[in-house]
Parts: sequence; C-alpha cells; structure tokens
Amino acid sequence: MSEQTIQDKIKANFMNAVLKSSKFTKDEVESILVAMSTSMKADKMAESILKSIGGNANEDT
Amino acid sequence: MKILNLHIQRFRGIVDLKLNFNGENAVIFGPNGVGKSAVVDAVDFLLRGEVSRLTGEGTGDVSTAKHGPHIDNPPEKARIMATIQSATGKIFAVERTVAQKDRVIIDPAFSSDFNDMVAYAQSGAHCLARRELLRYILTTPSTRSQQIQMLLDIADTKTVRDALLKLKKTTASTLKSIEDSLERYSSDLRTKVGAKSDDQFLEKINSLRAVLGGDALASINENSFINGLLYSDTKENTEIASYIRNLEELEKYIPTLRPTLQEKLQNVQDVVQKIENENTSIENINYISLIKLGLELLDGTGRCPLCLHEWASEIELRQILQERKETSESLSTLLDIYQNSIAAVLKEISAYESKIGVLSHQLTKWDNGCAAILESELKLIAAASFPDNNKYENFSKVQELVITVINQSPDLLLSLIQKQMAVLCSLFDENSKAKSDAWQTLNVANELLIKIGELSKKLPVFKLAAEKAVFLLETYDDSQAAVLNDLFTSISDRFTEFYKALHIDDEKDFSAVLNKDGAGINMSVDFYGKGQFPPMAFHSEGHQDSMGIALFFALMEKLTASESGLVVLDDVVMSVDIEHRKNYCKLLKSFFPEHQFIITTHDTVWARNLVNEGVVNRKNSIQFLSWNVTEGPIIIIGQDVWKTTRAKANIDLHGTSAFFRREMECFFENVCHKLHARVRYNNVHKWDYGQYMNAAYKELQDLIKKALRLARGFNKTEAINQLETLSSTLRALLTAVNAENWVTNVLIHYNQDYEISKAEFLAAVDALEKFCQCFECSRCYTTISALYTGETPVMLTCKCGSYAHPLEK
Repeated sequence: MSEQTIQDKIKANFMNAVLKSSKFTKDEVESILVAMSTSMKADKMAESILKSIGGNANEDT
Repeated sequence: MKILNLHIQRFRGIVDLKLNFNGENAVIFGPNGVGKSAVVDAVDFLLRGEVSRLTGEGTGDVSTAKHGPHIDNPPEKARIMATIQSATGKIFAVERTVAQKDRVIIDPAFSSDFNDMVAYAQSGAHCLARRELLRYILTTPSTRSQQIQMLLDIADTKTVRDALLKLKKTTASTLKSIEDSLERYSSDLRTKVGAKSDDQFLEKINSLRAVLGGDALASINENSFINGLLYSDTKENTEIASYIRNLEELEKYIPTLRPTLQEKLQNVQDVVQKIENENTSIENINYISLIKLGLELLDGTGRCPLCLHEWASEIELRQILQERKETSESLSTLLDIYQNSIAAVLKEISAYESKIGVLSHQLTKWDNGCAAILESELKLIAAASFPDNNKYENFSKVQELVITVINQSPDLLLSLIQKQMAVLCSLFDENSKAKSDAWQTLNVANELLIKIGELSKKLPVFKLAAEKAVFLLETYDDSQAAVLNDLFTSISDRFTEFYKALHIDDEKDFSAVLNKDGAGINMSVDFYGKGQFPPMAFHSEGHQDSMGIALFFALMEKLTASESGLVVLDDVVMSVDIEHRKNYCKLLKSFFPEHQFIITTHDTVWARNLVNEGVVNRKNSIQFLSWNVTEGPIIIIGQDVWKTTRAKANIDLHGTSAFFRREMECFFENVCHKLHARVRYNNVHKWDYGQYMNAAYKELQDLIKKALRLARGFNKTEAINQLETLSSTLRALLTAVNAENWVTNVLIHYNQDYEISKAEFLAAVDALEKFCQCFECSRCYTTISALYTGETPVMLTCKCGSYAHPLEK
C-alpha cells in the first residue's frame, strides 16, 4: 500500500503536463494542485480553480 | 494482513466467541440465522469502525452505533479484539468497541501497519458478498464504474473530473455571455445613433454633436461622445422631451403590434393543432416537458436536477433522458416548436408592456385621456404575465388574452397619443427638443461605448481562462486514460485468466474486454466463440457469479502491494455447481496462496469441499449449529461430522440418520472423485451412498495392490507396511460397517414407525468413522488421491506427502 495509488499516478501525470504547458504561471499551478488535493466537492473545487486561473466572472465583470 | 485470532464480545448476535484462524483460510458454515454473518460484520467493524450492512442506502434508522451491540448490551461492552499479522510479518493486538467506533486500541508502533489495512478495507476490497457480485456484472456501465472505482479507490478522480468539466462549462459560458453582450451592445449602439454601418457611425455621432454645437470627433475612439459639449435645460423640459420620445416610439410600434401578434399567435395555434392531432394526454405532455427541462438543467456534474442523485456518468444520464425524449420524438419536436412560438408571443407582449412603462403616470400632469387608455392597455396585457404562462396547459388562457388585444382597435389610442404629443410639443420649441434628443442619444451611446470598452478589455482574460479550462479537462482525461487504460487492460487479462481457471472445462477459450467509456465501464465477454456480448446476455447465473468473483479478484489484486491480504467471501458461490466449485478451490490455492480467505456459506457440502480440496485446514472449519439470544451461536470447530452427528443424535435419531447418510454420501462421492473410482453407470446420473462407498473401497484396494506390487519390487519396507496395514484395516472395517450400517438405510430413517435405538445408531457412526479415516491421511486430513497421467494412475498421494506411492514404474 505504500506504493503510489492509481489516483496519485493520474494526478502526477496531469500535474506534469500542466507544468510543461506555457499557459499557466507557477502560482496558478500551485493553486490547482492545492485545490485538487483537498476533499472539496466538485463545485467548490471548480470555483477555487476558476479563481486561480482568472476566469471568475463575479469578481472581474 | 492476516487475522491470527478473533475475539468477538456482545456484538451482532454474538455473546462471546473466540476463533483461532492462525492466519490461515477458514470456512464458517451453517444454516441461516445462526450468526455467521456476525463474524463478517465483526471483521468489517474491526477494520473500518462500521458495519457495511448497517450503513448506506436503504438502512434507514439502523446504524452501527445503535444496532452493533448484541441486544440489550451497551455499546462499550460490544467489542472486537484480534491478533493481527501485518504483510511485513509484525504481530500486534487491535481492539475496537462500538462505543468508540472511530478509535482503535493499538500499540502506536503498529498503527501504520494497521492503517494500511484500514485503507484497503475502506475501498471494500476486504469483503465480497453475493449482492456485490451483481453490481460488477449484471449492471449498467455507470453502476459498474462506481463499484469498480470505489474498489480501486479512484472514486475521487470523478470529483476532480467533474470539477474540471464544471470549470470548462463555466468559463465557456462566461466567455459566450461576454461575446454576446459585446455584440448586443454594438448593435444597440448603432441602432441608437441610427447608423446602418460602422462607416456611418462617426458621421451620425458628429451630426448629433453638431446639434449641441460641438466639434466633430476625428475618431470614435476618442474619450467620450459628449466631450466638450455643454447641455442644460430645465427639469421639466428634460422630462417632457423624454415623454415625447417614448410616445413617438409607441406611435411607431402600435400599428405593427397587432399584425405581429396575429402572425405569432397563428404559429402557436398551428402547432397546438398538430399536438392535438397526436392524441396524447396532458400528463404525457408534462412528462416529456419534464424530461426536456431535465436535459436543459444538466450542469456537467452528473447530478440529476430532479432527485439530486449523483450519476457516475452524466453522459449516461443524458443518454437515458435523450432516449426517453426520443420515444416520443414527434411530440417532443412539436413541444419544442410550441415553446419557441409561445415565447415569441409572450416576448412581444412584454415588449409592448415595457414601451408603455410608466408613461401613464408620467403623463398625468398634461393628460388628455391618453394616460387612462395606456393604463387600461397595461392592465390588459399584464393579465398575460402569470406564472408558467408558457406551459402548454395554459395556452387557452394566453390565447384568449392575446385575441382580446388583437381585436381591440388601436385607433383611439393612436389618436390620443398624437394629441398628447401635440400638447407636449407645444410646451417647448423644436430646437430644444432636438437638443434634448441629441444629448440623450449621445449619453446612451456613450454608456454603451464604455461598456463595450470594458468588456473588450476583459475579453482576452476570459478567452484565456476558457482555453486553460479546456486544456485542464483534456489533459486530465488524457492522464486518466494513460493510467486507466493500462490498468483496465491488465484487469481484463487477469479477469480472463481467473475466469478461465474457473471454467477450464467448458470455456477454455474465453476472453473478455473491460474498457472505460466516458465515466462508465463497459464489459463484454466471449460466448463460446460466437462473439463478444454483455455478461448478462447469454451466460447462465452460475457463469455470471464466476465472472463476478473473477473480476473481484482481478480488482483486489490491484490494491494490494504485497501478495498477502485478508478477504472475506460472504456466501459468493451459491449458483456455482460442484465441478466449478472445485475449480474455484484450485483458483484460491494456485493464485492466492498467501492470502487469508474467511469464507462463509450455508452449504455444508461446499464447506466440506473447501476442506477436502485443501483450501481450508480442517481445524479452521467452523460449523455454526444453532443460535439463541442468551448464548449466541453454538459452534463446532474442526468440521467434525462425527461430533455433529453424535450431538444431533441426542435430539432426533431419524433426522440425524438422514443427515448422516447424506454426509456419508458426500464423503464417498468426494473419495470417488479423488481416486477416479468407477461407479456403476446409470442413465439418471445419480448414485447413492452405498454405490459410492463400494466403488471407493474397491478403487482404493485396487490402487493399494498396484502400489504394493511396485513397493515390493523396490523392496520399500516402510511403504509396504503402510499399504498392507491400510488394506487389511479397510477390509476388516468394511465388514464392521456392513454389519452396523442398516441404520442409515433410507427405508429405516424415513420410517418413523421403525424404532432405532441410540446405541444402534452410534455403533454405526463409530464403525463408519473408523472406516472413513482409512481414506484420509492421518497427518494432513486430506483425502488420499490418485494422480493420473492420461488414463493411467501414476501415484497414490495426499497433500502432506505422507502418502506418496508410485503406481507405475
């Protein structure tokens, strides 16, 4: 059980690809990782990532 | 992890029970209602602090805290204690009480070892019950997916995917809304200044500025359309100008209202006629409308908008709703048309209402009758604004109101409006009016331009956010696919291997495909080379059970890093026949030699098979005989048919005699199987105890003779002695058995008028016990077997090797 879980493998693959992409800043990547590592429900997780990638309409429009 | 011993106190019908598994496989068997499942519950509770059967869907007010303790016992007295051996070989004690079910009492040095097992158990991989088999096999892709994701502990991946899907939808929707607003504001801006094209725009702005004495702007990108303009008027003049503008607009609009309404109402009437021709009920129309609304409300999270049930796959939920909608496709299409056309009618009425606005109140000061008629118009059209006015069932009411509006002549209203405008225009000069209009237009245009500017500035940010969201979702799907495709391929392979091991005789060419389809998991299996089909399509219930078991094992393997683990199999082979159960035993022995299986069953034959096939050691065969509320289960450890028979004989001799005969029939059937004995053939394929016993005896004697011949040839004294003793003991005991065995005759034990004395019965039991012992190794208690190569017996053997006599040179 000490080896990497399936979820961890998926998350690691995903974060590696996000890190390699030029679309995201370091802060954004960190915020995404934090949001994905919490036990938030999907709605809250989406909200949190939305804030970090700057697409929050409530704040900006 | 393995359980060395388990001590259950005052828990789920058990008063005080100690079971020493010694880390080995065990079988717990007995009829219904004797407390077998309480042992399963105890293991479950020890590991997870909950009892699966008492939690989750359908359990209502039942809970582990309230219903875990044995009846009338406080939760602090309901406790499970165990000595555990970790995967790394550490041995430690664990205890959990119902009173403090979230806390285990354990030496902190071993907490991490125990927590590994708890994590494994939280996914459900520690226990397989028959009801779960069905969830793997006879189910929809999404339910299977949920079950498999839970077992593989990947349920959280759905949460992340749902979040990213929601993110994509939200950013796309925000972007679209901004783009739509930009387009609308741009169009409103052109309309407001009366420009048909962008080229005309600056020209129109400058002509409006000229009315106010302002300079021409060189470009529309200058700070403001009202830059450098000065305009002021009295409040009254400003108001009058505004009222005149509104009246002018109404004057233009009213002549077009009735023909437009007439045309739009006709469209609705046409579609209503078609719906009526469908000859359907209003309930059906409402049902289809609900389905359509449900489809519109799906938000990407997989949650049903009506009951809030969370589906593993929104794609599947959408598909189901779509299918239901499509079963009434023509009605559904007509309802779509109805919705659009009634919305057009209502929008027109609403536009009229907003154009009248508060004019009736504003005009009071200069009223010439116009305010009153506008007020009555408002009242008339306001009647159409009732809740659910767009619903099909409310069409007649809306139609009645619209027809009233259409039939009412606009002439009086128009003439009053014109007179009202004349009154207002006389109050100030035309030049003032033109200036006021220009000032108002430029201000509105300016506001629109500011909004356009702000949105245009933000557009790239939202565009980028939407692109990022798409990237995140696609990347997550790719990452998931990369890991899960490999995983599912290996699970498919292993599942196939396990299933083939269970059905080696009838489906040796079996193949299966398990693949992820969106959020669901599809499964198709080969049916005797005729193609791939869903598991429930052609395979029997027994085969489906085998698939469930094979899939569970394939999934379970993925969870344990070590090769050892504890698995409770709670009555999972109900529909599997005797031959396949033997393959099942082989599967457990050959693929999972390091696992500890605790198997419960109500089938005594299956329990015996497990011992005879060497899966379970005889001392770990635990029979639950009966149960009462004061003592809990009454058990016999060591699957001792002789003890059970003697205990039963104290209660009912005739019944025990029948039980005993059945036990002996099973025993000698198994011996015949192990020795490949020749039972005299009959075409009903059913043999009785006597036929099995005689065949088994003859076969063993024949094999002993063969083995002796070889042993003498090689002068193997020890083997000769063992075989000669066995042969002579068998012969002598057969004579004793034949003398006493009449009590097991069916004519006796089914005949209540025939008196059997306990002494007579027990004498037969004694004789048979000794006789049966000859067919088993006295050291490992497994049945002596004949190994064959093709049609030739080559070895007389037992599991531990105490019997290992060659039969061929």
